[in-house]
Amino acid sequence: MVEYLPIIIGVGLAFIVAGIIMLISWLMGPKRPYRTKLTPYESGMPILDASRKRIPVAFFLIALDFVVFDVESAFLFPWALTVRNSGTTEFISGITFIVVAVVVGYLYVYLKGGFDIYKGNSENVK
Amino acid sequence: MSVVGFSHYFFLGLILFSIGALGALTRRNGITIFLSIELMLNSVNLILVSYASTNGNLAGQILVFFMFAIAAAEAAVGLAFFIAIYKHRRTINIDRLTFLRW
Amino acid sequence: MTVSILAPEIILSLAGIVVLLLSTISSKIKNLLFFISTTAAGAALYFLPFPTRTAGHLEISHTTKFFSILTIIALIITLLGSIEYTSKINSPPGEYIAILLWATVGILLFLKARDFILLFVALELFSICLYILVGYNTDSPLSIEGALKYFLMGAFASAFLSLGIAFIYGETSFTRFQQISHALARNGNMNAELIYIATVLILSVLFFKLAAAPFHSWSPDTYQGGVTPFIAFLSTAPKAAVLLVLIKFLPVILSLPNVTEYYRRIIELVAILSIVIGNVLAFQQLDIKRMLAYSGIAHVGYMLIPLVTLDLKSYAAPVAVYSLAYIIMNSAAFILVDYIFQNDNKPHLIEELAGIGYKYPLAAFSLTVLLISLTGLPPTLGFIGKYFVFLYALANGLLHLAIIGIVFSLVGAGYYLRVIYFLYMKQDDHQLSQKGNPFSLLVSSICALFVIVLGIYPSLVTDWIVMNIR
Repeated sequence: MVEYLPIIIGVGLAFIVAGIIMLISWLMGPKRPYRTKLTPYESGMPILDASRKRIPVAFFLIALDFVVFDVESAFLFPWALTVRNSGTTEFISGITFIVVAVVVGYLYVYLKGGFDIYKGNSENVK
Repeated sequence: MSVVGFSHYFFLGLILFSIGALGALTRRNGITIFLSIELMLNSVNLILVSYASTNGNLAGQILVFFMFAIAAAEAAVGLAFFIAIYKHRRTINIDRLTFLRW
Repeated sequence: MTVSILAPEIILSLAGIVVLLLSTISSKIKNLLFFISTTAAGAALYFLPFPTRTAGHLEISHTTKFFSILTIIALIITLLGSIEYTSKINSPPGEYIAILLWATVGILLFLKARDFILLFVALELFSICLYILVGYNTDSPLSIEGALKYFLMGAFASAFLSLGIAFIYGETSFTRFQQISHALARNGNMNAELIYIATVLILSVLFFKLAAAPFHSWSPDTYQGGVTPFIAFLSTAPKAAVLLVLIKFLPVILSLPNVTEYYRRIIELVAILSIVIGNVLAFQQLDIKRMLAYSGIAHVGYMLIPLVTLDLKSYAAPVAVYSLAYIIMNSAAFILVDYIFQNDNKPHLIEELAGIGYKYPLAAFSLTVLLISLTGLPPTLGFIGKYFVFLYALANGLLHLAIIGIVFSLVGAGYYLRVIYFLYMKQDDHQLSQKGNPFSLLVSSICALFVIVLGIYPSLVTDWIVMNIR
C-alpha cells in the first residue's frame, strides 16, 4: 500500500487547493445577484428552450451504428498484431471478417438510409 | 496487503457481479435493469482477465473480446426494444408491461 | 478441411447476407427472397458434413448430424410458414429471413461446439437473433412485450452462463470439453466448490434455454406475444439443440469424482417439476399459443427423463427420437395456428376455433392429427417418442418417473382434446374466413402425414437412431 501514498497525497492536494481557491473567491468576491446575472449565459445570449428535452431518435440510431462498428474494430487489433507471424489461413480469415462484418454491414446501413439523419422524419430534426 | 493480486481482482469482480444481479432483480426501470446486466457481464470480464493472467494462457482474454462484441450486440437489440415499447406504452417501467398476463 | 466441415453454416450465412442486401434494393421481391433462403436451407441439408473423427473444437458425429438435420427441418417449416405473414406486418421481410438464417447458423455451431468459447458465442448468436424475431411484429405491443421479457431474462441468464464458464476456465485453465474432463478427473489443486457452483450455474442456464420448470417463466409470455410462425422455430430447434449440448456437457461434469447422485437429483427434480407444472397450468389457458407453451414445458420434462439415468452410453437415443417427434409436431402446430387465426395482434383464443373443422377441413384435420400426436396417442410419432422414453426409463429402474410421465400424459390429453372438441363439436360460424398462406397448409399437412406414417412404421427412423446415436 505504501507505493500508492504519493498518488493519495496528490489527489488530496488537488482537492485542498481547489477548495481553498473556491473559498477565497466566495469570501472576497462581491455578491450583487439580479435576474440577468443569474441566467446561464452571462454574456447575454437568450435561452432558446429547456436543456433536458427529448432528442430525435435518428441520433440514437447513428449512435447504435457507431457502437457496433466500434466493437468490430476491437477484433482487428489482436489480428493486426499477429498476422505478420502467422500463415495465409489467418490472413484470409481476417480479411473475410473485415469484408463480411464491416463492408457488408456498412453497405447495408448505407442502403437502408441509416446515415441519412433527415430521412422520413425531417420535421423532427431542426 | 501490500500487493494488489489475483484475489483482489477476483473478489472485486464477484462484488460487482452481485451488485449487478441485485440491481437487475430490484430495479423497475427497463434501462436500469439492462445497465445492471451489462455490469454483470463486465464483472465477468474482469474475473476472466484475472484468471487468464494467473493461468498463463490467453483463452480467457479471447473470451473477453467475444464478450465485448456480444454485449454491444445485446445493447443494440435491447435499446431498440425499449424504443419500440416506449412508442406503444409511453413507459419503460417493467411493472406496467402487463398485457401478457391473465 | 475446416471449410467442408463448416459448409452448411457458410452457405446459410452467405444466403443471409445476399437476402439482406437484395431486400434493400427492392421491396417487391419477397417471393425471390423466400426462394433463395429455402434453397440455401436445402443446400445446407445436402452439404452436412459426413461424420468423422472429432476435429479440434468441433464435433462431427452422427448425433450432431441428426440434430443438425432436425434444426434445418424446423428452419424450412418456419420459412414456408412465414411467407404470407411477412407481408401482413409493417416490418420488412428481408431482415426476418436473414436473421432466421443466422439464428440457424448459431444453432448449428452450438450443436458442434466442444469448446466453451465457441459454445458461448454460438449460444449468444442464436439467442440474440431469437430476441429480435420474437419482437419482429413491431405494430403489436404484445409482440414487443414478449420479446422484451425474453430479452431481459435471457441476458440475465447469459451473464450467469459466462460466470460459470469463467469459473471453470479459471480453475482448470482449459476451455475444451475434453481437456476440462481430464483436468477434473485428475482433481489437482483446484477449488472444488467453485467447480460445483459453476456446473450448477451452467446447468441452470441450459434449463432456462430449454424452458424447463423452475426456469420456465419466460416461455408462456414470449410464445403468446411473439410472431406466431417464428414461434414454430423458437419452440423447437433451440430446445433440441440445448438438449444435445446437455447430453455432451453431462459427461464433462461427471468426470468429477462422487457427484453422480448429486446431478441425478437435480435433473430428476427439473424433469418432474416440468411435467407437473406444464401439464397442470396448460389446463387453465384460454389462449392456444399460451397453452402450447405450457405443453412445451411438459414435453421438455419428458425429454429430460432419459437424462436422469446419467447412463452416458445410451441416454441419447430416446432423447433423439422424442426430439424428432417434438420438432415436427410442435412447429407444424404453430404454423397451423397462424394459418387459422391470421391476425397476430389479438389473443388466439381457443373458443374462436369453434366450427373451424367445417370451414378449413384440411387445416383442422392436420391440427387434429398433430394434437393427437402431442397427446401421445397411437398411431402417431408422438406416441413412438413417449414409448421410447418410458421404455428406457423402465429398463433403467426409473419406475416412479415413468409412472409420473404416464399419469400426466393422461392429464395432458384433457386440454389437447378440448381443442379438438372445439374444432369439430361446435357448429358456430363467424368471422375468420379469408384465405391463408397455401404454403403453410402444404407444409403442415406434410408434417401431419409424416407424423402418421412414422407412427405406423417407426422403424424407418428409429432403427437408424438406436444404431448410430449415442
